[in-house]
Amino acid sequence: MTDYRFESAVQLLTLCHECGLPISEVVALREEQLFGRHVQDTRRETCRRYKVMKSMVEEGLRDDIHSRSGLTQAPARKYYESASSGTVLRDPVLRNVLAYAIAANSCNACGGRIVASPTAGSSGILAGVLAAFEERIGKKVVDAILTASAVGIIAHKRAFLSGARGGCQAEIGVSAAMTAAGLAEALGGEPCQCLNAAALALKNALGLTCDPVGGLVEVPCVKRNGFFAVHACVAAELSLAGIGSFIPFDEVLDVMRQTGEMMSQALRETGLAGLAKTATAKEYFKQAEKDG
Amino acid sequence: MEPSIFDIIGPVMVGPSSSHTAACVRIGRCVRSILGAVPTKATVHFGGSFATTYRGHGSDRAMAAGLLGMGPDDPAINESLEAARQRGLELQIVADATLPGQLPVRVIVEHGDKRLDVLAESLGGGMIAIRRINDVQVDLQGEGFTVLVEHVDHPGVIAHACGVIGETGINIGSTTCRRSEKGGKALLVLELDQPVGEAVLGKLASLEDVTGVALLAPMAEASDTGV
Repeated sequence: MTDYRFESAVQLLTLCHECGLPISEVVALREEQLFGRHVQDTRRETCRRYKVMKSMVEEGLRDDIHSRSGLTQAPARKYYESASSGTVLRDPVLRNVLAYAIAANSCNACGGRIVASPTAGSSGILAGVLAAFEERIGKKVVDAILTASAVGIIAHKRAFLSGARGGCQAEIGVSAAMTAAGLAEALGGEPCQCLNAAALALKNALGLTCDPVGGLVEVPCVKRNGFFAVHACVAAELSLAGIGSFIPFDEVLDVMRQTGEMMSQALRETGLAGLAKTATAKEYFKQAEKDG
Repeated sequence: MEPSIFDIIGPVMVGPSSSHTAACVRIGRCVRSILGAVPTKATVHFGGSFATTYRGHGSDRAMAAGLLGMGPDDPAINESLEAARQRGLELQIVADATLPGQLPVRVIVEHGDKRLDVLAESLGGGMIAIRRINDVQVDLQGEGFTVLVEHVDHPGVIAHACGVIGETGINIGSTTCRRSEKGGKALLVLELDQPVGEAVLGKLASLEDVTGVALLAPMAEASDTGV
């Protein structure tokens, strides 16, 4: 019997080749083998989680959405309305990727119901990209999510998935890698192109620190989800065009882990350095305290 | 531990942070299950990056919500501190840099004459591990249905407890038993393929030398109520 477990991108690729299956099917068979969940049930549950992702986008696009702190006030709506024909980005799908990812993560910042992927702080990327591409990829959104989860599983096993352990690279970087791989599969990419897209995405997010203002998951998190949603699309675009990552995904992950371990704790979700300690951030909270 | 697809694409939760909010709900919920009731008093020690950011991440609200029995996706988490006051749960938060581990939380709860001291850790993405229950080291990551049998380290207790489960026909997937010292407090952890009912838990609790019994549901099923 085939053992569907995998510890690395290399092992996952070997499984895909041996079974002649895409990543999404291998990871669903792994789920059945390890947890006794039938492939159909896995797909159904994935579909339900995608519905939560779409509700995040919808909620985050509302013009009255705001966070307790006041740092997040309907940023996605503002962009969506002002950029209806695009100033720099002329492709409407790419504009939607940007708007939807910011919307989805605004929903998180404002106390809404979300699905972490892999974390709450980075939950806007997969949600935003898939909602924007749904019209084009249809039911393949489920395959995209399954493939994304495979990349997340490797990252969890080989490195870590939290800003407190490895800085923002471990959240946003991994989330962008997951999304790039998922999008690549949904657009017809081979398993090696999916993992190559993941490598490109994570490689170019290495070193990102986690320094949110006030220890809140808002600045820079909400807009960073928008930036890295576009980044994930760029990684998938390059990979599907045959542009390889010189460093393969497993090695990029190892570098992420090492970089995270070398990162000062002040820059790992403690709010003790970086953007959290800027004059503007301090002034905001001084004023907020005065206003009660 | 082997993560599921839904550990990565999940949990479905109320934000803002999977490691600092959803994980705390799950830890609180676990502690409540082990205690067997909503505590009247809880002292929560936040270590690692919790110590400086628990307010911003709503970790205190999340812990209160979990102790009250809410799941990570319950919108009432946003108002849980008020709910705790109304339900007579006195919550005290302590920033504690001395705790071991990357993202540790220590929860000390009381209900009647029962007192429970749990050390847990947030692993990222909403995943958690329980590292210590009272004086006994454990490693619970909430994968399956888990029965905890707290007992005095005397001969025959483990056999009797496993016998009670055996009678139900439910398979035990794994067992571990650790003790604080020879003849001291011990904790038997049984991971089951299916849950057992109240009657079985009652039977376990009535065994000689057994001092406490609890059933923990798999983390993902206990919390993710779906859409």
